[in-house]
Amino acid sequence: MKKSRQIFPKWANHVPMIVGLSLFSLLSFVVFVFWYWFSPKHLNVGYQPEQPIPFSHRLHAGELGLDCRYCHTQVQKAGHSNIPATETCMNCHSVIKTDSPHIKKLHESYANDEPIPWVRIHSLPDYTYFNHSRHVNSGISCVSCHGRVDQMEVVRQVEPLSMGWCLDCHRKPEKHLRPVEFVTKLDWHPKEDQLTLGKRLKKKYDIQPKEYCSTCHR
Amino acid sequence: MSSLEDLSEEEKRKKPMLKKRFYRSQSDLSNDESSGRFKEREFQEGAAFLDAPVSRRTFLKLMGATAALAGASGCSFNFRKPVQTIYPYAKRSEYDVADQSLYFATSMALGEDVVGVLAKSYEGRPIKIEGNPSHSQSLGATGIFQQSSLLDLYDPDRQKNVSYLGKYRSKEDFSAWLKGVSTEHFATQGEGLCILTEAQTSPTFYRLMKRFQLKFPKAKVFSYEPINNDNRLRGIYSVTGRWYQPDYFYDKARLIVSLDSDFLGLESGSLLATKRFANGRDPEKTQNKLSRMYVCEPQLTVTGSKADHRLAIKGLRVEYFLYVLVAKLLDARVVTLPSTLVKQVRRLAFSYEKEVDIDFLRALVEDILKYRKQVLFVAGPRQPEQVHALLYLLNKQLSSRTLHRYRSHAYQQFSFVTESNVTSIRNFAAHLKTGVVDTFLCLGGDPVYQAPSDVDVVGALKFVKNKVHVTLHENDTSTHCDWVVPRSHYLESWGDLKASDGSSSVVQPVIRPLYDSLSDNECMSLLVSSYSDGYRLLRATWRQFSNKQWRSCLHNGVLSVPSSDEWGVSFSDRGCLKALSKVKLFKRNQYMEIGFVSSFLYDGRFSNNGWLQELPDSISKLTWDNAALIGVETASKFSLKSGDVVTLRVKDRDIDIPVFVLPGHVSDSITLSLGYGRRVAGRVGERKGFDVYPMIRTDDFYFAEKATLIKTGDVYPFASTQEHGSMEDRPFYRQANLSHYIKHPEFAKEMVEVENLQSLWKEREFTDGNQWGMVIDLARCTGCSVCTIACQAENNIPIVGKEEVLNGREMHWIRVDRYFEGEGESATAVHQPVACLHCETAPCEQVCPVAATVHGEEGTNDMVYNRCVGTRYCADNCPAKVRRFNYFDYHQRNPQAQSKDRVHFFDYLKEPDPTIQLQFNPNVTVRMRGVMEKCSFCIQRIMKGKSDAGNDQRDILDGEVQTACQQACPAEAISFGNILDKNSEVFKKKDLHRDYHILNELHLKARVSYSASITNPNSHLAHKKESAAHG
Repeated sequence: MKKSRQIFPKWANHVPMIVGLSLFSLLSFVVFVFWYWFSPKHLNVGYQPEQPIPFSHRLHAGELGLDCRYCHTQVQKAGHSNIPATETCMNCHSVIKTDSPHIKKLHESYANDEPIPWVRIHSLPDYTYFNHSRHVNSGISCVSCHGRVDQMEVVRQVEPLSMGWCLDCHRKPEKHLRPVEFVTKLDWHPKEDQLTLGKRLKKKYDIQPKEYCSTCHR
Repeated sequence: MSSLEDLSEEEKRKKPMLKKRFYRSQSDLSNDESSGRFKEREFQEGAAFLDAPVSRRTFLKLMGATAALAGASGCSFNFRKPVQTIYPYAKRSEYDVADQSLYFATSMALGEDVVGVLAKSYEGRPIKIEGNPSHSQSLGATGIFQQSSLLDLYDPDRQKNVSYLGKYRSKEDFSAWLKGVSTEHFATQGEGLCILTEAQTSPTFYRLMKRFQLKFPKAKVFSYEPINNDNRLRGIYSVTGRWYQPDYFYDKARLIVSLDSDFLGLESGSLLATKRFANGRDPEKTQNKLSRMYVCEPQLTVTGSKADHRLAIKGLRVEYFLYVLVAKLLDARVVTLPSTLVKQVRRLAFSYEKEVDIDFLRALVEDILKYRKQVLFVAGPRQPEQVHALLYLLNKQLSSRTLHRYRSHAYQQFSFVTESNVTSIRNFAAHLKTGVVDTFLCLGGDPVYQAPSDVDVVGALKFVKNKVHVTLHENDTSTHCDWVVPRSHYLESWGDLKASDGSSSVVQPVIRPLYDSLSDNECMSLLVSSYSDGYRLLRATWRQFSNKQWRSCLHNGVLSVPSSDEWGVSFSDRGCLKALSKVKLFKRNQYMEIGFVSSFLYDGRFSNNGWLQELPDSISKLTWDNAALIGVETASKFSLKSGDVVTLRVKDRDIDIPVFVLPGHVSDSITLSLGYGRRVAGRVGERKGFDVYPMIRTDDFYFAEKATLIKTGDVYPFASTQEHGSMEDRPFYRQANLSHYIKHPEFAKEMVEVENLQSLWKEREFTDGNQWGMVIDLARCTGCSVCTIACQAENNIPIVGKEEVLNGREMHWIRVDRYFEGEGESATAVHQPVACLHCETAPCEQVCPVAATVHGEEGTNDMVYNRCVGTRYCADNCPAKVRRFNYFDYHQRNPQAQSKDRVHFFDYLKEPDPTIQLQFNPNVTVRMRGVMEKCSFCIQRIMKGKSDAGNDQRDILDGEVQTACQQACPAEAISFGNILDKNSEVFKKKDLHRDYHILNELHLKARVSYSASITNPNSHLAHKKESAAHG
């Protein structure tokens, strides 16, 4: 048998193309992985951890209609919107539904003066400083960042809270502005066009969102 | 090879005419190579590499460990951030608003110095100390010790629990034991009891002490502070028969004569003195009627550097100078002394007269005559009693009564208070050695380390059965005691303090005691009372207040106002005469003297405080070390260079210590600073520097004479920052004398080399909103360095350690540049704080490849840490050299750092101690390795001000936003605010004629400008100097 002078079979001609294609798709895949899967949009949105006490915002804020500020009292005063002290829960739960096992945990916390370890849902990096009071007092509603919490049985993150997302609003605040008295009314809808209202309020409240770095980073 | 260039360089070096007027160090003056090192490269060669060369073996080890860790972290690899929990209060505390700080008024004692402070509490932990504006000794200012006391509170090396012979005991065990001791000794009237205490200023303490002395009349109490004001107190007592504490009003004096007094530096009451002095030196506030200051001192001090005329004179000769001066004043008939005294003074003056700088003396006498009734004499605590006695007489006759006040010492009825500290410690050791003492209680202090070398405290302690040491840190004394009891820090205990002016202030806890500790008052009460609750003890002292009044006292921090002046008591000359007749005569240049001074570690009690260890000394700019400071003349006489180790010997005592050559230091004199070289101190302070206490004896406590100095041949590396951040020979420091300034008010602006620079492109304009700017007034600044520490506390700035300072990697955002002026022993110094200039056309911003440093709309040069990749181009391009780079994660490399409980890739596996983490300001990012950082104008404070103003729908008020350095500054040298607001303080400062920008030749348009320093020399002496100068 005459030995072929070709060492490689004919299909080997396609190898560079196959390798190139697979490299390309691998690369695209890697890019996609980082672009999408590593983005806050994928990593953070929908985060819904289990809380030590299954507190229902749907029941309290939605059905019972408690104002957000009944519990988150300092949201208009401080940068940090506080998680209520057990004391606040006890205002009602010292008499309501006292035999529920979860409310008993609450009573224990109050009696022993031990905090309840709530799990943080909305978390910004350590080098980012967000101020609740500045936003709430300027007519940015809770719903703009936290979604319809009054419809959530268990609270989850609905917005990516990424820098690009922050800047979208800082560049066009009129998309979200509403009269200050309605910031905690999550189901509020403007009677007129949002953009017209937003532009008017922007002028009225003298809203000048800043975009330079030290606004949030310091 | 460009030999021509080399030659010209060589020539330049040789040319004497190129000698500068202002220089940074002796080697900078002589232009030798070591100073060029930091001029040419801000960051030293090899600075980007690890500190030690990595051997192949360690490299493999590191690689292996990294690979293993990568595997380990892969197991629990999580895309999401780690789960965080939020702990709200179960029961809310009063006034608590999350992330809004609360301020609590309290006060801190250091020796007899009491300063009222406000502790900033964030979610229940103190994170910053500010001055209390309502306290008479602070008036809103703080010093380095107040600022850094915070780090002491959180020091993880503190004594944490009661121990008996090294074994753990609870606080209750100790209390029970001490109560037992109390009942045991009651029968013998306390014969076997002995207490040694630090200086106490608490009314509650003395109330309990009174009860103690009633209960145990035979018990002995001693008090010892190595840094004290005994001579001043006793000197004034010798002429008045009263224990008076003087209070000088430097702002009202037109002429200040300081004899070896560093009243602007580390002496007690320096905050108030600095404020008053700066007010008297402010050309605008005084309408060009500046005070004039003459200083006679052996080593250059902060006070000496602010003097208009400074005479370098050996410390032991200062009193002779005074006799000559008094003799001249007697001739001029402006003072009258009893005839016996006159005779004595003239005799002493005669023997010394020929050795006095006659020009200096003539000018001084002329000024004293000119400014009669507005002259203030002040002498340092090292000067003997007779000097203080004479000065009391001079002050009484030559100045009006508005310039000084005398107030009785609040605790003069206690003999251990009025007894001098030297006598006290000597008697203490002698008393123990009699063997009658069976229980000894030491409240604070460290007598084993701090006692004079001829007082054998260790030997004396062996005679005592039960030894108790109540101490913040474990130290030499506690290793010799059986019971070691943690002492409460002032930020975690109740108490009260009385300042030297008689005003009382409250000490209230800002945090629950971190450890099982006791305060001094609680210890005393265990001996005399049925309860030991600090708050009840305090309230019992101030029973006169109703609950409502008490609340307002706690709010203001002030319990009583300064007591009234006791002017007008006739004096006796007998005491003074007695003191004068004891004076021995010296001949000049016969002996070498050694002077002892306080340091940034005070007497050693702050030795475990990294902030103070790394704070460059105001004059020598030494960090982490002390040295034998010698003058240029002495150095050449013994052919010594900075760093040469010498053996110092006085009689039978000797120590080995390296010398540091300092212009302005008098020849044939050595200055040693206390507080270094501790054997037991904690992880930060142990074995840093050299212990000089062995050189002190009870008979030469402040100065030792007849010292010999032998060069050993060893060389010791000093981490001095004096050449760091050199900006070459451009005119940064500008100064003129008053007459020149009046003739040429714009002199500072005219010193620009190239004027009216134009930009090549259209520049960004800042015309609306708040445009932040700062002015640093060099006429007011004294160079005390509190700005550096305040900044460090506010902005989470790490310490880097001596090795890293040697590499020029210290992280201070604001440095205080010190330039010498003049040569040899007559040199003096000027101080200039330099932080980021916040240039509108910032050179750093133009070279950053990742836009990590950019300009904000309000004119601040911002640093975005999370963008920075660490190219360090910005630092290279910064003409003021104010950028600091994290070569390592310094918070993790701190000796007190501990292992992390979780594993991270590319990490040191360490984190700051949990208690240290409590100190961090949560509003400032803690920077990682590989990140550039620099002064941010306290952007977190600006943002707080903006948010407060925005929520109230108003503009930010002038003065509402204060930077940390500005708030702390006792001289009020720093103004900060909106430069567009014509009513703001900073605008008014920038509008002054003497306002100038440094490095204006580069068209930086810096937001930080300086007000030129104005001096007020005597015209007869001034002709020696140029009228206007720059550095």
